[in-house]
Amino acid sequence: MITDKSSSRIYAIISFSLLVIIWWSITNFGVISTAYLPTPLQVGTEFVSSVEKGTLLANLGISLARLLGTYIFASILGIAAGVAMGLSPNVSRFFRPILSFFNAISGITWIPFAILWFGLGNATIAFVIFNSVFFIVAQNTMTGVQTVPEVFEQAMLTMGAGHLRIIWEAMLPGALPSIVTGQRLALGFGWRGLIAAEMVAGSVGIGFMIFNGSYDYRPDVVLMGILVVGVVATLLDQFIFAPLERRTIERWGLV
Amino acid sequence: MPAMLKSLIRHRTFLSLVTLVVLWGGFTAFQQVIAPSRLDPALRQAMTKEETIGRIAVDLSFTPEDFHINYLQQYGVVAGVSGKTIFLVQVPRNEVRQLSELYWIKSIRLADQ
Amino acid sequence: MPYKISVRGLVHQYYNRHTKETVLALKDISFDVNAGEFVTIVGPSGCGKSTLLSLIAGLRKPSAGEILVDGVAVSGPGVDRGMVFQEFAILPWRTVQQNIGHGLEIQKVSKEKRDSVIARYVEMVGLQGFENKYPYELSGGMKQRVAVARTLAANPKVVLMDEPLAALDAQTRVTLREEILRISLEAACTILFVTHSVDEAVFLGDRVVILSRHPGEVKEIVTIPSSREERRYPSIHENQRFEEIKHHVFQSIRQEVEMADETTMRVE
Repeated sequence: MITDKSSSRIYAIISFSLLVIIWWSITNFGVISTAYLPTPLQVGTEFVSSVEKGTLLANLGISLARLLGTYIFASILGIAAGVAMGLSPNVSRFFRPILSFFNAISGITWIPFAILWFGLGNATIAFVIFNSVFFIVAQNTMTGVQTVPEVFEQAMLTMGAGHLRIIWEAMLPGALPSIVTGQRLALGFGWRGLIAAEMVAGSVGIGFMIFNGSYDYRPDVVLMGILVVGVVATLLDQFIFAPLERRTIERWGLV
Repeated sequence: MPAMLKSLIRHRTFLSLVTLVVLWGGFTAFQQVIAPSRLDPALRQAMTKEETIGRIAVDLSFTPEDFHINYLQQYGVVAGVSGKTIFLVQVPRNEVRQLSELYWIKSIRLADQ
Repeated sequence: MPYKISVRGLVHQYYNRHTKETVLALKDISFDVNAGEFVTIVGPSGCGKSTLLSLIAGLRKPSAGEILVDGVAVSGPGVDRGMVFQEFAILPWRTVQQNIGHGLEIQKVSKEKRDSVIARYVEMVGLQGFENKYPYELSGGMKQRVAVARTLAANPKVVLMDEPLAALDAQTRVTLREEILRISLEAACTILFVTHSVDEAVFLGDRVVILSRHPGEVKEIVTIPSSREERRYPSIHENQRFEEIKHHVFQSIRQEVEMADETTMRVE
């Protein structure tokens, strides 16, 4: 029997294979010159050789380290801010417009401003990731806290619970599905912001590697880098956050 | 909570993450083990005596790119590149040891002053 | 003997942000509840019966008047007044036994003591075998059993129940009425029970407090002559006295509803 999950997996394989076949045909038969679009084989060869040379893994490692560090920092602050806003209607009324406004500005829009402040380098990249992560985390956490039924709080109050306890045992678990969704979105936004920022302000990292490849007239490096960015983002999302999200929601039957 | 932890530990995602970490750890450990074989005997000799090595030649199996030159700059002053070799001067000996653990480096020699 | 609960001249008004009006929800409510008594409160919808209960729970502050529990004025929520809510207020991320022991956990009762209390109340509400289930694995009726057990396990002086059976299907509701009656006798606690069902109020209560239409006032307090031990479904319906009282309460509330309709019509 074909389950829903395995059938969608089959479709994914078919659609990607089709894409590669089309790519292979147009590059192999000279529809588009390989000076502009390299063949799958060229990209594959470049992938192997950049692993051998250490360039890919080192750049990727640096990029992931940048992302992770800032992401964790921005998430913690975002969750704290979101809880504070979710708990107090007045605080949320005050900050919600600001939050929506900043959320509308995508993280990469801050790159020029960050360069003015911090120059080229890690601080600018971190600032961009922070902006891509913080607001979305705060907003989702706030929404999550606000959707926790008031009766949970009332019930705990009648059992003599204090406010910290109510936050810890009712608000945070109740907001968890929404928090996880926010984390998932934020990781995607943070990753995109990071790549863009590295292109402009980095001297190492996967984004820099891609951008530099175009200066060196190396379309194979560029395309290989782009594919790696896509694969890493998909792996992080599909193998870490999607199952986590499903589990937190399914676990408690919160749908 | 323990039931939740148990099911988390058995989860496929968690298992594949663990596998990745184990593979990476194994690879790193392997690199550490074979690291001394990348150092040529004269250099190894010099490292027992001196804190800082005056001039070393780092051989790669490919022509170095900017990335590699920049990378090696963290360990010492790059004094030149010739073919597949990068020359570094004033490298502390434990940094030579760290260099020898990089999998993309073929060998490290003592270079003439 | 002093009353377990004394409600004296309770007034509650609040500001409605949408209509921009101050609404008088309860005007001058007074009544008393004896220790060990089961008092039910009925009234037409919107008469403020749930508001009255949350005032006693201390979740809201009255505009005037006072509430005494064992002679002590209520100033906020407290462990002496446990509450069962209409919505299933048990926490979805806690198992049945974690939910039942939650109050004790908050009161920092030791694990061993807690476990024995939990076991006792799991048995009392008939949830043996479900101790480690999560709420989503339970039916509505079972969730409310957990809520009742959780409230009783915290050992409150009085138990407030705010339409706990309203969200359940008819069959479960009838079963749980009998269960609550049995538990009330077994746990020997003082219960104040709000409902919109006359049948429920008369079946459960030692006394029935009838509230008038909005703004709520105590219209009448009816004493039910039979003792709680004797009441069973469906035999209770054969009891002439019970049916008469039910009829009386029903008429009393209907009068209120009709008067309320007339007022609305006049406004329209």
